[in-house]
Amino acid sequence: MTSGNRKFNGWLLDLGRVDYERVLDWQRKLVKLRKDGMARDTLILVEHPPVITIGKDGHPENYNHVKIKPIPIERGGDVTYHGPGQLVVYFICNLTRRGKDMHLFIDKLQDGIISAFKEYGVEARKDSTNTGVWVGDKKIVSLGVAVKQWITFHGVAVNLNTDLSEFEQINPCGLTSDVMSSLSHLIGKEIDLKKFGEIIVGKYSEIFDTVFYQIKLEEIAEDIESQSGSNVI
Amino acid sequence: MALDVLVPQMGESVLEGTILEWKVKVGDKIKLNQPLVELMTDKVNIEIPAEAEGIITHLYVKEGDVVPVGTRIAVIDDGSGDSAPASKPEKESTPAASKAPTTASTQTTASVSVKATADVGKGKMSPKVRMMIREYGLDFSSIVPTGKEGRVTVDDVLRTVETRSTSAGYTLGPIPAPPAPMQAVSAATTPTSEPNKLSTPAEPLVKVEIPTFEPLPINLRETRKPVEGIRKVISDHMIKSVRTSPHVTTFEDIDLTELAAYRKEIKTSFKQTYGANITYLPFIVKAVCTALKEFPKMNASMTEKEIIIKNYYNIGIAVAREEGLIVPVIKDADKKTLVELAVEINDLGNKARTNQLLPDDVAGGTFSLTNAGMFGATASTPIINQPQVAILGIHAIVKKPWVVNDEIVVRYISSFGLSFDHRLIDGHIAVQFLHRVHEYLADTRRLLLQLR
Repeated sequence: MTSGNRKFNGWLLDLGRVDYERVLDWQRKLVKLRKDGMARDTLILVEHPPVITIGKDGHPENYNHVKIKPIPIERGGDVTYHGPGQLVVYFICNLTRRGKDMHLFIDKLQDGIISAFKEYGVEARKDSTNTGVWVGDKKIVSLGVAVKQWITFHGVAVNLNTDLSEFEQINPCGLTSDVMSSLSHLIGKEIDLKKFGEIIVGKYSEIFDTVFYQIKLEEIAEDIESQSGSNVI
Repeated sequence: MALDVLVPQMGESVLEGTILEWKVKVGDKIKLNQPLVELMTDKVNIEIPAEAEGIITHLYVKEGDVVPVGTRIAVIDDGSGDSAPASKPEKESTPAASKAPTTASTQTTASVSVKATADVGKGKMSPKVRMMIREYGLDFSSIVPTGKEGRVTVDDVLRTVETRSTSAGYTLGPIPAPPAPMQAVSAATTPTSEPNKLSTPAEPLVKVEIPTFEPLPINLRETRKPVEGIRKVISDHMIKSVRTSPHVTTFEDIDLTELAAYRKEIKTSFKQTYGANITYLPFIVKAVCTALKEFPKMNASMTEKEIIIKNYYNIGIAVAREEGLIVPVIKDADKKTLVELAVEINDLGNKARTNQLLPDDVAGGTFSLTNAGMFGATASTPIINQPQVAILGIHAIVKKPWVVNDEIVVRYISSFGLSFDHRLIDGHIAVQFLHRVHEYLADTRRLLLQLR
């Protein structure tokens, strides 16, 4: 998945299951490191324990009935849910090297997912009014990105085996919760998150013309720790 | 000079954005790349950084306003020259190339370039350029910026790398032609001819382009592992030995021709009879034990207060393994027959390579052998296996032209290197010991005289 002569070199962090807030902290620090030239474009794969987050476009009526305290964050978009069975892909990417073209970036994030779904025999699409990846009238993937100094962070949440009833406590992205579905729901069998992770890294490697070298968090832990200070934006 | 802050082009489909929050206000002094404003587009929240440093003189839009791409939303005065943006038409601050140059705009351009040079050290450059500078290990001050507003560009960095390489004595481009061989010959035969001719490089027939390579990604450039397990043990052991004993190594070429012939003669039947290969090692062990009895200090230990001469002969034999060297010990080697030694060496080697050695198998050595010859080495200076005081390094047995009775003949020669602890062992002792080992191995009949 990392072969070929790609234009860019990047890192891949495959984290397994980690708390939302810890990864949020790492993302913010990686953005700073990326800005200072101390990190590469970094793709993060992670599965979060149940959590509700609210983007900059959050509307209180969409998350009045939540069971857990929502976390307000800096990404675009409204309220969403992350939890077991959902593969979250964050991409810390320096857009200065890619023409500062935000929407091309968003398109590519979605194209990678659509291409990965094809491997499961599922034809997915983008929607002209509701960003995300859709299959028919069901939304499988939510998207929310933030950009600081032309470095992107946050990314996409792909519902593979997600417990869809968890979405009932919110109006995900301002939509009604019954629009949400998952890949396993569509094809009627459990999805291997690891396998899907490998597929999506391969797709993003092609689409973003980047070789992603897998690294361990420990390898950059020292640099991350050195990024002190407030992360609240 | 006033610089406009515009809503940036963010992609073909993005025509407008909502101003979420101003991070600065009029009168603020701002740094390069400092976040100015937070803008929201469809699903994307974006922070616009300052493209220059200076003072905010105008903010044209409010939070909550929806603004099209290209809108001027603020003005930064970078403190160089003319600072009256409001009085000027909006287009004035775009690059001067599009309109006829006036005296005023020429002056402005000049002041910008002066400012630009002064700013280099403060780092007007993109993150990519910064990363390149870091990866190439360049000094900021050595880079001449040619970019807009004194920014350092990728080309500037590459140019600096090239210049640096040239001045360091090598180039990234075509290499200078070497002096032609013919010229060198003529200069050698006529030493009085003009020496300058030599330094005139001839045009080569084939110009060799030396390629350059991108540095490896940081995580591939080096692999790091903790020092642990057997590597830790070996490491501690080596350091301790070098710190404890002043090492001296003496060499002697050992003539193994007769032994080689004898070994060849019995090889097949030995294997059939005893199931083990007959190597040179059993003979070397026997010769060493016999010589050790004549030079007792070689088979000893030493502490700060006492010298311990050992009257038993346990010979360690170093065995190479993937995970690290290990030294199994042949106990009471002096009392064992050559056949017993051959079989035991064979067994211990197998055990070592399959990780079946017991702690007792590697304990209690009084003298060690190490064979670097099996990998082709013809000389090495082994480190003493503490608390012993000497180690014999065996090297490749090579057919060499040798002078015997004033005739050049082919002999099987191996250079043995004996490292010894100079605290206890004087040079002449070690040299005589090694020579005695040589005598026993070169003429095995001599061993017979000493066997008990």
